Amino acid sequence: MLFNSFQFFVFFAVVTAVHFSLPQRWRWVLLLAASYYFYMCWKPEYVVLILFATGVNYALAIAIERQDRPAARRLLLSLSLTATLGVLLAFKYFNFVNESVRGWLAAFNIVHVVPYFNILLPVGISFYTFQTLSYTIDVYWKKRPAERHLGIFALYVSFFPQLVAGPIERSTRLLPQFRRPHAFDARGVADGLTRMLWGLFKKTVIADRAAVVVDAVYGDPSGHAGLPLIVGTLAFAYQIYCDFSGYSDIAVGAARVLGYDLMQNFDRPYRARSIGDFWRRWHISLSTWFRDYLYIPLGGNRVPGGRWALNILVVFLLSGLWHGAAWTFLLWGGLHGVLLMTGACTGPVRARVASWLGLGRVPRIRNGLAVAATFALVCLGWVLFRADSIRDAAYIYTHLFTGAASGLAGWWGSARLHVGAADWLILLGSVCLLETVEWLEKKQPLRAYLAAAPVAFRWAAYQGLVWLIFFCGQFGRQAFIYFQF
Amino acid sequence: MKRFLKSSFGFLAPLMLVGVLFEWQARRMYTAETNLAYQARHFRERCPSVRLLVLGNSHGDKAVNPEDLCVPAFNMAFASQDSYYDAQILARSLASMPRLRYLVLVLSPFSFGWDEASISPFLLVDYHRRLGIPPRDGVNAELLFNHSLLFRHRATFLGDWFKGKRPRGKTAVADSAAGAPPSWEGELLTAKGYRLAQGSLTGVALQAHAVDRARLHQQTCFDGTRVEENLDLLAHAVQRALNRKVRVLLLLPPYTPAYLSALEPSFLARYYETAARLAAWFDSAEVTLLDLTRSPEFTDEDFFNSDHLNVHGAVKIATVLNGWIEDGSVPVGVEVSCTDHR
Repeated sequence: MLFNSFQFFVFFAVVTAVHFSLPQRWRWVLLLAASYYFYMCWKPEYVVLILFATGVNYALAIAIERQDRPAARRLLLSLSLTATLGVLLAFKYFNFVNESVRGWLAAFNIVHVVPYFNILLPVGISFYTFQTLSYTIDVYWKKRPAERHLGIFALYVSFFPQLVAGPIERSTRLLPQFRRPHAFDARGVADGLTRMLWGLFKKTVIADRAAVVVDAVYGDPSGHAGLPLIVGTLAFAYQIYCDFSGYSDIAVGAARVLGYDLMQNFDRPYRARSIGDFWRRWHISLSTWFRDYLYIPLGGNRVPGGRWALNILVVFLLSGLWHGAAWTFLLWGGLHGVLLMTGACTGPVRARVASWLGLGRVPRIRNGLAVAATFALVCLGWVLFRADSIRDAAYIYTHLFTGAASGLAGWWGSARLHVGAADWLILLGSVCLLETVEWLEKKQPLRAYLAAAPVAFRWAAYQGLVWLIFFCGQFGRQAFIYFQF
Repeated sequence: MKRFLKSSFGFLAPLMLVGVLFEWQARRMYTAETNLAYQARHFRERCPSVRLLVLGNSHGDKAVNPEDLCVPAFNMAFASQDSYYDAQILARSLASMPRLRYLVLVLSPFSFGWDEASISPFLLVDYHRRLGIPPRDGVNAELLFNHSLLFRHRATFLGDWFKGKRPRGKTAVADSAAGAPPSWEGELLTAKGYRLAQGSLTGVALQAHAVDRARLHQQTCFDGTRVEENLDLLAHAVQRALNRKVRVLLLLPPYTPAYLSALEPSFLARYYETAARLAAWFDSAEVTLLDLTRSPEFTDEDFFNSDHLNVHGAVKIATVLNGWIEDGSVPVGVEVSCTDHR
């Protein structure tokens, strides 16, 4: 069941209505049943994996809490990590490792006979696995007590707004909310619905329309050179941002309607001034997860320079691998790690150059340049993220600035990519609207501006957005990109 | 809560009012019937006299011209029409075709794997409204929404309204308001359901089309999970026809060598094998399997593009069908004179 489907619209309306008509003590039952139904709409048998992750981590967290001996606690934590990550590894990475080993052995003429695991990747497995792990690790670190109520814990693992593509919530934040009474809050509901509407706009109007351009280029990269490749990559930058942040907006909005607060997953990432800044703004729930549960335990930045670099590289390589079992994702993660390290190392030099150029006196220009440079680097990374193979990515990198020989008119003509003028107009107009809104949101969220505006203006803006989605939205069967992760 | 509900109503009421006004305007603008509606209307009118019925998808609607046949015929094949709709059309119209004696079922390489997920949603509405056929998987949101002309034309509605024009060009909504048959891009839908296609592709254009079509058919049109279900539907349709003493021809239409060579051999093998399975369930005297896929009688000039016949190809098909109607034989490429029973 997709967030951008009519089925979800009906499902959510029913769940919300029943939720507020039930007494507080029964609401978890409704939400748990709804969450399992939501997940089972996709592939019913895979609910077993969620039940397994829930059961194992529920029992082991209680066992960890009861145990005083550090060695025993460590053993129990290892058991939890092995069992939970084992499922993720088997379903997501087995074929990738198998194929890689097969390739390496073939180079030595050794026949590799381990068969492929012919199975569909369970939707959202990376998300709920990491969310469950964070809970068990928090209990191990004594940050929170183990949850005794199996139903509430199961709901924490499977809460439907964020089950299949995050945000990856922390137990310290989400679990207590399931016990807190929630009175009907009209302002919260309106706020949540507005957020869902904005997410739907990003997904249906921008992301799914940009997808046409992206698919035309990345479906056959060798058929293009120069401007079309640049246009396709820029379109992908907006596609992936609007697809994922649109999903997150709908998830946060849906939870808000029900009275629950989920964490922000995006903070205007394309306005980042460095790669480090970008990762503080992009997929925040994942980057903070890696920071808290991997980077800091590895020593963070309180270690010698070489070790720090290794820590960064490990975190980013794993982050890349988290996104997908392919070498392109691994390289994408590695590239970001290297860029982050380079950024940190060249910081003083860049500051001196900026000062020498007199940019210190005009911070707007300096910031603008930093934002543009970061955006360009991020886009270069997206090539690896989107390309079907390293070969395709290499082709795109080496042909980004070729093909101008046919003249500007020919170059521009080829960059239209058989997309109609009206579609281009809608896409560019929507991106301009998004950028304007994000520029306004520098000070406060747009919702806050609108809340302060007269009701007629506010409603006109919301209704305009509804019609914009209706007339310009793509209502196909386009799933969210991050579902595959 | 009451206040919230009142506010919600206050917000939604103008939204719905504007929606109703837009829908009203859309109904004034989009008055032309769709191709399927046009075809279905003529089919209903001609049912009592039809002696031969053609079913299938676009490979069928361009292959058989009822005007060239020696018995009153109607071509109810339609672009992207899957086996479910073929079976349903036959089941629902058999009673109104008392003179029906021949059924030609045109089977494409993807016929057995095709399903309505690949059919434009507005066509599902037309199958429902014009032929009384509900969607295969039951009524769904898309079907409901597509009853609204505003929803169906939402991508062009504002532009069309602003320009004060009806949609033109390559669109499924053809203008037949003036009584002329729907036409577009070198194709013309006749009143007997034949999609007359003129011209042909050659050289690089033909090769490119063949590769594109083969890839499309193999990647997006072949859902292996539907094969047995579709085979079952077709078998029931054939049996239903046989029960009425209707002779059945399972026609594997001709394709260009370019298209056939662009298909995976395993895909083609599955096509032949599944068609043979369907034919094997029945007595060969009643059900004839005619494989013209590689017939040398059809050259590139007989094709509109890599996998669809043009008007010249349809004439050759008519020759073959007339032979089958006349004496049950299926000679390939031989001129068969036939008494005109119309």
